[in-house]
Amino acid sequence: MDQESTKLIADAIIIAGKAIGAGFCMGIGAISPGIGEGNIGAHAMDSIARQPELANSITTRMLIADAVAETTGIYALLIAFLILFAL
Amino acid sequence: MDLFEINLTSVVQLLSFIFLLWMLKKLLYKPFFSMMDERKKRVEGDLAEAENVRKRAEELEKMAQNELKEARAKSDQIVAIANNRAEEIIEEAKQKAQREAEKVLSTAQLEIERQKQEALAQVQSVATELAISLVIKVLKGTLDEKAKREYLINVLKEYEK
Amino acid sequence: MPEKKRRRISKKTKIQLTVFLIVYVTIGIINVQYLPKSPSDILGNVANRWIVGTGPWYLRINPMTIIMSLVVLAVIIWFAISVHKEYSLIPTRKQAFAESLMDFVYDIVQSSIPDERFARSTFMIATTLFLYIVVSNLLGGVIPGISVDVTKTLAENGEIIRNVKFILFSDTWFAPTADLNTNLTYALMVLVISHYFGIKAKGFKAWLKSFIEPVPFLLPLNIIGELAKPISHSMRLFGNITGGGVLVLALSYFVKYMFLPPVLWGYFGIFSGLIQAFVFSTLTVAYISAQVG
Repeated sequence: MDQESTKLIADAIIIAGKAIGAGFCMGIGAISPGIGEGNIGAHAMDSIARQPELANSITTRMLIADAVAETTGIYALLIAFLILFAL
Repeated sequence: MDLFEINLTSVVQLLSFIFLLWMLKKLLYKPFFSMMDERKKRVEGDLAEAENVRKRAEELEKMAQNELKEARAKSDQIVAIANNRAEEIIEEAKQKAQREAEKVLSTAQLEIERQKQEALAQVQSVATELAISLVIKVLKGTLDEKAKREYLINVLKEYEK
Repeated sequence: MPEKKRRRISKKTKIQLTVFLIVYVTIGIINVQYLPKSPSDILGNVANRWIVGTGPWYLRINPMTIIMSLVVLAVIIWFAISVHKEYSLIPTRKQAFAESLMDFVYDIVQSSIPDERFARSTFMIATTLFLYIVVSNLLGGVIPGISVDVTKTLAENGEIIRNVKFILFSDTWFAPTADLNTNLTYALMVLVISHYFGIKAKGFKAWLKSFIEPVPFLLPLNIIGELAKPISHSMRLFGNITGGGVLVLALSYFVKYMFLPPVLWGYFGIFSGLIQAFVFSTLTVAYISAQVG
């Protein structure tokens, strides 16, 4: 095999690895924030059903907690970017 | 690694943030704080005024209570006097009525006695006459006039005894 | 006259709407004709930034971030001046909006930092951060504008050569918060300020002692925990806005740059932008109150 085709195959393997890695990173990384945000939403709904007069403040706090729970998903996104574009 | 690069831009951003903070402090926050202070001061003034009003109300209430107490004492006194007077009047009236009643009773008794005496005398005379007539009727046939009389007189004498 | 009271589209509004639609469709057709035709053309350069200068870090600069942050500053200061000019006891609509925003932030600050000395400075920092991040997120997620397409090529001597191409109406404006420089600077600033306030509130000895709280054995853990704060603080915002930008760009490509979707699809622009700005300033207050309290 000559030099050029070896380089070509190596590049192809690298691209394939990047795509697979980024996809797995995003896919698995999106599981835990999804579960966490679902939990937060469920409990917020519970408390709103129990005390409807507190719905406004509960919604505000729910959104903050959602944003904090989202952080791990965002980290996965950043790592996916890193794999795709910066590696 | 363009995404994660840190360079001079960060310093520029820090400076721009400080500039923005300074500008906003001058334009937005100072009026906001001054307004908040003014509001707080006004609220505090209102609170002090409310406290004053409360104190005054307390004083007034105390005064009113004192007056009420005095009035109650006075009225109690008046009531006691009136009660005494009423008792006296009642007592007087009772005594008077008793006296009157006694008087009426005694006169009535006297009257009754008198009437009784009268009735007794009447009865006596009537009975005597009756007895005499009876005796006369009974003794008409058996005795003469003289013996009759003597006998009757004797009987009467005995009766009178 | 009941007909006059009913709200109707006036002639002026009709003309404006027609002109807007014509311009919109024309730009859309031009965009479809001239803008990149394959996804790899435009999405391949997403991670590239326009960086001017070579050498160590203090010689390089991101012009797009600085230009956009100046725009953001101009917008905020224009708003602040227009509020300040007609500041009165009976608020106008702008003033009522600004005051309700400040009241909202001040309530949060006061409930977590009772000390008046620190509450006001914390309030100023949190509100300024909130305003800056909100405006920049809304610019970067909603309003279509100029995007900068950068292609990198390696020169003979290993130096990176950047070819910069400006594209009109293909993407939303570049948000300053989509640059890690901005976010990390602000997060580190918050960290420094929180520790400064902590020293001021507790005294130096008590502040040092707080690192060996429950047991001295936990000293490295405490230090790592403190250093992890600005990382998570900045990366959260950075990832949200950058990811939102990339998704908006992909959606713009799918609808052939008719640029209505980024406006309608307000999740990454309006919703996520507002929430992240709110979370950033709330966490600022929380970090400072954790040091002060």
